[in-house]
Amino acid sequence: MERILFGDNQFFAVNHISDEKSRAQSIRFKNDSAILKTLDEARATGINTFMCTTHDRMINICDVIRKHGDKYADFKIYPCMPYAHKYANAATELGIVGALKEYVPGNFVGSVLKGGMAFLSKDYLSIMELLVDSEMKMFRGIQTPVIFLQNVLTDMLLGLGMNDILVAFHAYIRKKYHAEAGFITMNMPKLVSVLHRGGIENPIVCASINKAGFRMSGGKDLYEQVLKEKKMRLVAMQVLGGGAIPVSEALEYVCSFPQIESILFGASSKVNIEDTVSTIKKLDLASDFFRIA
Amino acid sequence: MDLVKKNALINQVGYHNKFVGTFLEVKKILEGGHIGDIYHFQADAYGPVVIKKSENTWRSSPEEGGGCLMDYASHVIDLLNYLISPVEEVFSSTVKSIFSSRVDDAVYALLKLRSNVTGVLSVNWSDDTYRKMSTSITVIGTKGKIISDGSELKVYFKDADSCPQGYSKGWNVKYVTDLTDPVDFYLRGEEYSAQIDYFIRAVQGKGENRINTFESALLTDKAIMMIREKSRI
Repeated sequence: MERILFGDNQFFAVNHISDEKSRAQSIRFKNDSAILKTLDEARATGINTFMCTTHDRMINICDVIRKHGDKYADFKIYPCMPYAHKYANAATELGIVGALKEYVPGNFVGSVLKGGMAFLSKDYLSIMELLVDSEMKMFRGIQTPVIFLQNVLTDMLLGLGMNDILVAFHAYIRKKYHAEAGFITMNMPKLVSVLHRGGIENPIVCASINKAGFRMSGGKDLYEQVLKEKKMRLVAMQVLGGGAIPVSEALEYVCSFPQIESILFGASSKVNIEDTVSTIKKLDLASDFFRIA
Repeated sequence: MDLVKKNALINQVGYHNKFVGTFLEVKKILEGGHIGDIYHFQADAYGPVVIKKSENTWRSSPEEGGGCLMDYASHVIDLLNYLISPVEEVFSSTVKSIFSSRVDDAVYALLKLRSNVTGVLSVNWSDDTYRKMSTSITVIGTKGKIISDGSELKVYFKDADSCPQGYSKGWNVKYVTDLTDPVDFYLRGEEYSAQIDYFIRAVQGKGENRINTFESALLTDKAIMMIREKSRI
């Protein structure tokens, strides 16, 4: 994984601290061209990985990337699935079974339901595989070396103790897409233990890591301890703690852990992207220097 | 209600807003009297629940989903009851359907609270300019004003003397990230974990059972009933 990954929250009006900012972003990125322009600005700073939700708007963005194959030759996408609101809205409108019928291809759901709940519970892994395939369709022909499960699902499965689905997701991503599975979580210590127990020795995990301890369930101390003691490939997200910490101080904290492989961040303006990238690079250089010295 | 009291049973209803950091801070500021005498409020909630005509879903059935007033506005009314004072009178109200045929999709009402404060309730679950439910409350007093939603708190104080600690004259902005206590397990919002933890602690006899009781929820139900009745006149 590259050191810096570019995120997508700003494109889809996801803002954890302000509804006003979220509306401003929604206006700013109304057209796909605005998203592509910002992606190009991120690429110009050397970022070549875009970590994004399987939002419907990504269909068009992926079309452009495929169409301009030369320009985006080294460009990678780390899809994060599912886009939960899509399913939540479908479930609101059509009910749970209706939503499954809508998104699982063929007559699979119909035949499963005819078999009753026993059949359904045996076959939930097949349903998971079909849903993964349907989410992955938009990325055909694009490099997707890591495929993430969104925190809403990772943490729900973790909470319910349905650990076998997490492990099966990992196996399926390897088998079908020759890629690595990643897991986004707000409960990193608990997840890492579960993945290790499931035989995933060096899992890719994306979790909140910030000086404020924001969304680090179980506490910052526990996170720091697990990070030092357990084997994983960690992507740090929400490094600004939802905007609560000054940028340089926030990045300094994250860069102080050599165990953190990648840093995920999103920004709308060119200046903010450039500042964040150059600050991370400076901090990394400094810590390399001290390590060698 | 009498049975619950008589048997001293632990009881709770899931109004999660009372566990959201920004709203808890609003409660503190109001209880301290820092914005002076309150004379008006505006309580809103908007979101994209029913955004097109569609029959035969559970949301559109009054027996299952119940509609915007029951399912969505209830959370705003309950928050209002908690933050300022319970709804005592409904001057006027409109409970309307936009896309649904058997349930309501929006509620607008002019209310009076037990503390004599008056204000406006405005709730619409057919508004797809919102990505997800957004609840906000504005409270105006003689010494200041509060505007808060689930993520951002903006407070204005007229004078330096009336400010609580950590605030200053003029506008102050705080984010839920600064006002949220960490939880042991996170799923879609600290407030849900905090709420269930609060309940479990009460069941274990380790914590109090004061927030979101059947008694406070009944006050919300009564306000819902008054709003519905007024809309029929």
